[in-house]
Amino acid sequence: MINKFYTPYNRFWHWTQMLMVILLSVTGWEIHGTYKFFGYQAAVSIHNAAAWGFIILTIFSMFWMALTGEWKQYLPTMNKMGAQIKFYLSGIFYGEPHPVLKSRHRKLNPLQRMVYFLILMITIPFQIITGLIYMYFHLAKNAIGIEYMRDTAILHTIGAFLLIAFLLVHVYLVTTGHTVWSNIKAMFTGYEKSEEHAELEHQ
Amino acid sequence: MKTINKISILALIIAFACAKQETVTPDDMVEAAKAEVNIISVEQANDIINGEEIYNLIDVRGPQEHYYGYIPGSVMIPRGSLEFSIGSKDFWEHEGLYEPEKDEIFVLYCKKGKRSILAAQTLQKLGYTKVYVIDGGWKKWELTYPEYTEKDLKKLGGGDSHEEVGGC
Amino acid sequence: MSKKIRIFIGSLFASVIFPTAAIFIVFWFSSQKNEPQTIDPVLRADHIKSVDHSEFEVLQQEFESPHEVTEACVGCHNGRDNEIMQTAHWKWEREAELPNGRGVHNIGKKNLLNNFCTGAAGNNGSCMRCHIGYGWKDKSFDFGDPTNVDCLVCHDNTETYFKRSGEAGMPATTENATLAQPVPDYNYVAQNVGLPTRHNCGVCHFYGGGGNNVKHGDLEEALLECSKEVDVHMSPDGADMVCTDCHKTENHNITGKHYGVSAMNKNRVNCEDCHGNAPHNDRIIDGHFEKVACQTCHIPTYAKVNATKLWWDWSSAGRLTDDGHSIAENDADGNHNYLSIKGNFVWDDNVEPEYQWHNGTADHYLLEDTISTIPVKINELFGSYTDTTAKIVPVKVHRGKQMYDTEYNTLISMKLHAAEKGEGAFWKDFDWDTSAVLGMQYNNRPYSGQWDFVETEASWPLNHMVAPKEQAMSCTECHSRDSRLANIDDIYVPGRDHSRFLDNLGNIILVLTILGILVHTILRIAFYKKRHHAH
Repeated sequence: MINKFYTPYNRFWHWTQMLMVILLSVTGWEIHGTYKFFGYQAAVSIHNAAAWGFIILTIFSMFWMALTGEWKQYLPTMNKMGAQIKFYLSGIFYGEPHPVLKSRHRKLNPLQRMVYFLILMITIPFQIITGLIYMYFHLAKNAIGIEYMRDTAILHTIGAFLLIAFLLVHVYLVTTGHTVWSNIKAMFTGYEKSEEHAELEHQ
Repeated sequence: MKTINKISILALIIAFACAKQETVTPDDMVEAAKAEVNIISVEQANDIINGEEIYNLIDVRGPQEHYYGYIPGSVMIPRGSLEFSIGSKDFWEHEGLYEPEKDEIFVLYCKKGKRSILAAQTLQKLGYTKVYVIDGGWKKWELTYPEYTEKDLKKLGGGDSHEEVGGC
Repeated sequence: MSKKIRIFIGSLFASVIFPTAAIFIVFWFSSQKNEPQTIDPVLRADHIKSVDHSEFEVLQQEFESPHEVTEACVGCHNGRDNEIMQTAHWKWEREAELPNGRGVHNIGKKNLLNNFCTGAAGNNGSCMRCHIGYGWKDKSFDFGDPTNVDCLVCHDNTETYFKRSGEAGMPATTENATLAQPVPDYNYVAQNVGLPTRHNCGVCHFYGGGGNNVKHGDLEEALLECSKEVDVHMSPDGADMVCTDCHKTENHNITGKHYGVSAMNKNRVNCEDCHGNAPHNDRIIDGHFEKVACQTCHIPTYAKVNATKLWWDWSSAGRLTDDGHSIAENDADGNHNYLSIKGNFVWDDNVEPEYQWHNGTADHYLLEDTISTIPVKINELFGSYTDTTAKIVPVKVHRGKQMYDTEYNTLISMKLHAAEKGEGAFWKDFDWDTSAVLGMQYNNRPYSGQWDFVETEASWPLNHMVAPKEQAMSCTECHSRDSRLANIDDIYVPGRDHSRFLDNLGNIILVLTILGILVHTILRIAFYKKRHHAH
């Protein structure tokens, strides 16, 4: 049986967000002074344009989540959290099935729910806010009475490190689906053979 | 089919011709060489000069620049003859020095630090392993250690000129 | 089958084409640049002369002395003498309130010390050649006599009028004229007067410190006719502006003043007077305006044609040849780098400025001050990041060593110039002590007789030699690890600064993450193989 997991908008959001985040990272570290790639001025322009793109995308996605009820999927739960952690730490090596089965209305496992919730509710807003302060420092300086850009820059850098660490783990965990490619395929097409079904087939 | 072949050959030729015409500016050359050589500050150069290890301080400028002012202890090897002089026993004997080993320290400078970068790249190609370039060259040295400089105007012919420039 | 195609097309659009399009839109937006504003200046050169001075009989008379020329000028231009006599060009001082509660002082070239020839007062014969008066030989000069005003030095449009060297502002007379410094043809000059040209201003402002470009570094004779690359404003290929196009003048009060000799943020000339405060039409670049002066990016280097003096070591002066002649030696570029009368110099051209905060106010070493820091600050520009009126400005810093009184801990005013040997001037007799005695005496300052040399530095903000916009500094000149702003340490400059701790911590976290992933992957593969072998 083939299940539909991701609506077209969900996929558009995901892949656009991915490209934006890559663009923001590549230009962000150049602005940070880590390397030269686009050229400083171009890096700043692209970073700022991508930031606005990201913000607009985030607003759209919030509407989407609110209207479709998708937001419920991101509410953290402790139910089966232990089993999920145990799966990643041992079960996965022994080829055990995922403890939480994926479905259209429960795309995320408890661990994902927790992490995505933290990313969506804390890290991304944090990056957007520190980013906006950074971008409009002169206005922010007077409006909220901060004196030095240094603090803003450092907070923004902390967020960047966290997001990249998340990105690495996230990309890796993509390969821990039913097969190595099944998750990424699902994110592209929206459809995935359900694990339950696949297991039956296998037997 | 033949025409396609001809066209692709022609395209290749054009591509090659274009590639060949691509020249670089002197600044490009310096920029490219910069990545390959070790650049040190005048302060670091001063540390080497005052350090224990054997070093060779080389001024790659010409005599018309060198004798007007140089870092004490430097040997002038104009960049034009650098490749040939550096490994020539005769040259070093003429300087009253022994020929340095390839793993000795070489500190290079010119007026402002461009020529010496290219010279350092050359020395590295010749197998010298510890080549350093003084960032900012002679001018930076002169401004940082104005009292630790030498000149040898007699080598330029003509002695002291008697001239007064007053007024302020 | 048809469902598969539907899914494929759907995926193509939702997962590939639309996201890629979104990124293209981002790139397109980021590449949108507005053209910077351009300025069409109204030039003084467009001013139409209203009269032909050669028609005036009063200017056809036989002039016995330059004073008579002034009298003739004032005869028609009445009241102008009073105007000019109020200015710093005449008084060589102005009332200024020094920062940090140091009170109100009359300061200017008349009484300030510097680290070139140490000070004008007492060396009048030489220094007052650049005074707009006739014969300020000593303290007896009458500042109230209008005929002492030299109208011609500023208004001569023939480029033939010069003051004679060593005569305290007097032109050559029949007694002391030479081939190189002849008596001016007063009728010719007086009949051809007009608004000041670059030559008029340059005759003093280009040669301060005893030679071309010695002092300023950004003001020199190359500006008489230069390429756009040297000075975009003054080049005939650029805006072709003269000094007074920016230094706008009313009633002989010329705007703009230099922080080598002035203390208050008044009467300035600013780039934004013409260009406004958002000339780039680019939010980010224009945003720099709050903390970065235009000059910082637009004067990437100074002394672009001829070298300027950056180091002047008096302590080496006085070395003579065996037969007692004074010595002059050049550096490789042909600039004097040793003179018996002045000591050792270091010159440089195409110099990268140093950078300082500046809010328009400056402090100065006054005649009554004692030395409190080494190097002694001849002047000090004020400002910091937290000072909302301060900006980062490019500065020429002139460093050197000069005489100081080791007992009283004061900088010494030297007596350098005299017409003849035996008058005690250093340039003739090379006697340090006598020079100090006489110099201090003229300035009414105590001198203990004990002296040595001390390092000093003076800051000269740069405003001229603005480069064409293509040559303005690129971002990474400041926004990189080897930033030009190394000395400005009270701000966070993106690209230059970073928290080493945070970066290290972040990198460790990323490395550990990657390691964790690798270990997990290896275990997965190993266990997978084991399982399948078992089968």
